[in-house]
Amino acid sequence: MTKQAGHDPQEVEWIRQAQQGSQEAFGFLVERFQRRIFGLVYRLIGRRDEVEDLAQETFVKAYRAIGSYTFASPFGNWLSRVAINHCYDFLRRERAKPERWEPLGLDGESTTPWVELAPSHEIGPEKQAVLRDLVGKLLARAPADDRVVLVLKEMEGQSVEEIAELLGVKTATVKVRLHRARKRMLEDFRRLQKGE
Amino acid sequence: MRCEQARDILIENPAAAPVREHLGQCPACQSFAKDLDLLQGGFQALAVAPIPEPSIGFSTRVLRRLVESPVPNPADFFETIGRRVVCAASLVALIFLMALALPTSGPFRGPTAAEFTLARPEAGSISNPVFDDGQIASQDLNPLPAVQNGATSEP
Repeated sequence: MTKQAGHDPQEVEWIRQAQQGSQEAFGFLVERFQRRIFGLVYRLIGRRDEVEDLAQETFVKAYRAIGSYTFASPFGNWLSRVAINHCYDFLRRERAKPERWEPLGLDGESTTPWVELAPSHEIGPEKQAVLRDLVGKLLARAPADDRVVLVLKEMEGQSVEEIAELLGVKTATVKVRLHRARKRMLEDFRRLQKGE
Repeated sequence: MRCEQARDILIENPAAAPVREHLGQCPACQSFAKDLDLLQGGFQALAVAPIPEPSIGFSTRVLRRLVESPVPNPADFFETIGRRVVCAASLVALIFLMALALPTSGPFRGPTAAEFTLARPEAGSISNPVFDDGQIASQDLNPLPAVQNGATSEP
């Protein structure tokens, strides 16, 4: 069994050509994976204005590092890893800047009395949208480590093992990070409910 | 079961059976479970929310960026490094030559050993000066007592 087993032969051909410097072949790979990377970057960063640039930079980095791709994992996973690392760097740089996140308050629609909300599966689409916006804002305020694992698990639907592979850490580490991230997020959520 | 323990289990698995009994008798943990459920609902809502599409011409712009910022050529890297090494070596050689070219006397240099010897020829010819009382100068100059066969020679 070859290392490329399970890969699309056309994709393998493009990767091989890109590894030899073909930008045209890399362009086909960009076409194939742009939506996936765009979505991942958007979810990790949560800001529409930054997604285009970050996704482009991810592909530029991937092209420069494509020689190190060994077909050991699907190319899409390898690309996702490049995107996650790039977003990590971005989030850390953003954190280093003076506080830029808008303060969370119970303003506008967020004044919904959360304590009176029914279980999530029983609430209507309108309140579901409020809930989505609120969780989105909480996620934007979360530390980079928390955000990455939460996005991969809760929104991208990756398993703990897949996240471990993507982040290059042990599954036990992912479990600990996930537990800690959920706990912090919930504390933030409850604090917001109480209007703190 | 303590609340802290129950909540840790809930975070891991909201449907875990062991905490059901505790939830039935603990309003605080019931509220915690409800909030956790809402948070999970928020995540699910985010997961199905539409994601912006890459704009038309995205891949073209990526390729243009590749052309504008080409991959650094390893040969260029070594050329740059090599040039730096040559510059550093030239600088060191220049400093060495300048040090050699400095005058052997004058405000920057004291008298050399040779000049000192020439000025006092007797000093150079005496290796173990003997003073008038017959003591060898080198003995006086050695402050440490001589050690012979592991024993210190005391007067």
